[in-house]
Amino acid sequence: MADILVVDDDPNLAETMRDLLEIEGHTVRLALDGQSGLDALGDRLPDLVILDIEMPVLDGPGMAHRMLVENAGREKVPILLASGFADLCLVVARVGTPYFVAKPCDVDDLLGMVGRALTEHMPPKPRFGIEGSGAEME
Amino acid sequence: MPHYGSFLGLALLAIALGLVALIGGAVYISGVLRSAAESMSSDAAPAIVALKSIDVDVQELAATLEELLAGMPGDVVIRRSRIQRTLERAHDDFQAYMALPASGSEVGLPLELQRQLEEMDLVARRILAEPAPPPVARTAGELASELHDAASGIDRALLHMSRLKAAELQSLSDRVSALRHRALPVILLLNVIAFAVAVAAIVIAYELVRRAAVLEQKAREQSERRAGELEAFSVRIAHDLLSPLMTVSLALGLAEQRLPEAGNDRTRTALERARASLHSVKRLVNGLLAFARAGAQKQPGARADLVAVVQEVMESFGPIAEQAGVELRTEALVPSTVACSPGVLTSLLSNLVQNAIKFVKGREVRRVEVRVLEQTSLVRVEVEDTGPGIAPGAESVIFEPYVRIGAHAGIGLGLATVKRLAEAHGGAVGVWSEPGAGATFWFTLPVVPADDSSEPGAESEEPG
Repeated sequence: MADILVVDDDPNLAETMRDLLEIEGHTVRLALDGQSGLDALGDRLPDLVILDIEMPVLDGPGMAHRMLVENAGREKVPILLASGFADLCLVVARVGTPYFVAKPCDVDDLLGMVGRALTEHMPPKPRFGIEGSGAEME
Repeated sequence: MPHYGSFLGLALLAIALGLVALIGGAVYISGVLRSAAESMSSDAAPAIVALKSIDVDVQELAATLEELLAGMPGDVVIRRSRIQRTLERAHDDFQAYMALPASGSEVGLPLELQRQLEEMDLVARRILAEPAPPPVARTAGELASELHDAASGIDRALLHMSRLKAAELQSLSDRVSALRHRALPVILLLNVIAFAVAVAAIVIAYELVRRAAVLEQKAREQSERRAGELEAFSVRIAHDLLSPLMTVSLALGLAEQRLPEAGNDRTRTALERARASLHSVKRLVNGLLAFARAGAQKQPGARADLVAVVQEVMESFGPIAEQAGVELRTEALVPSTVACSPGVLTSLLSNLVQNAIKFVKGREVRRVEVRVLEQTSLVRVEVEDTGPGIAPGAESVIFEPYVRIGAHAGIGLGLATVKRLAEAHGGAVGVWSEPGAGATFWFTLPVVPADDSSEPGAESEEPG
């Protein structure tokens, strides 16, 4: 029932997530890097972006930063970060989103977090600038 | 490095030869000079002195004999005894001269002198035999004339021999001078050799030290490079492993969902086992990653706000602790800045808190307390649990890799990572334990003074 954008450079994973979410009844688009993700946002804004961190061309934090900076409603889209645990804490704090899963997680964790994000619909609130710009954003 | 080895060998050989030449030259020159000096001091100079003594004796003798002949006033007895004594002394002095080593140039001169001295002796005795003055004037005149001849003869002989000896002395002195002149260039050369040897030794020593320093530097750079490569490698692995693992995990979940409820127990079980194995793999990979990263060089200028990170970690464990029925407490948080990145501090604390929560599961009292204490230049973070404690004697071995505590899951890298991380940042780790009552794991980190200006890239989080 929701419109979800999955941004991950692993096509197997991205497609599996799509299958899973489509079974749940959502509409899912895929992008394999941050730039393609931004392009997809240009077409229409989704209800949720599931965002990998390490990607070529433009990585997760990079895409999140551009969403924040470019406005046009993009800064309001909730982000669910998915990545290995080591990087996750720092990036989650930087991006300021309460929704994240540590790879590899299982179906229940993912669907649970997706459900939360779609219900609460909280946009990211970085406590300080992404990419270390040092600015406080509210 | 064959060239280097043979260069060193040749240089050492040159130094050794130079030193041998130095010593040999010094010995030769001093030997030659010494023999010349000995010659002068033991032969020529004493001879001249001895001849002079004879001269003095003979003059005194002649003077006193003349007094007698001339009938000069004075005690005759005294004069006679003086003459006697002087004769004996002249005789002794002559013997002393003859005792000296003879040089070839004198040939018959000493014998001539002896003859003259004997003449004088005869004259003296004849004068002594006469009364003083002799009554017959002609006798006195004759005696005086003979005395004069004898004295002159001796004078001539003495003069001749003195000249010879003086000439000898001069020639020896000339030889020494000549030797010194000849020796000067040799001495100069030896000094140059000595200087060259010293310089060569200094250059070699410097070169050796420099090469050692260069090697050390290279080794250090290499180990830093390796650490960097390992870090980059682990990041790559993480990215490449974890996504496929997640695909497997999700696919398993999907497959499980797709199974019809009835009659698929075995398949279901198989899928559950697959899922459990996946969990293990995940833990393993995360643990390995953290461990590999822990050995990386610390960033200079990295800083973290201790209180903020502690609060954040405790917050993040809130849900897990609640689910496990574990009470989380923080106490005595001393505001301080530590010399490591927030990520490292988070890792350190999370590892210990995670362990503590595991330890207290199933215990009667389930409490995990985190404390911060200030020490001189360090800050100490303690994580106390009400678990079963650590077996006595095991306090240091549990920080080694692959050592598990009790039956807890995991491959035992958590504490090894904590140790590696803390030590890489200038801190330490440890544990106190009372078996049955719990354990307190602690780590220390160096603090930075509050006004320390650090490089940008330090992330300070403001609470709340």
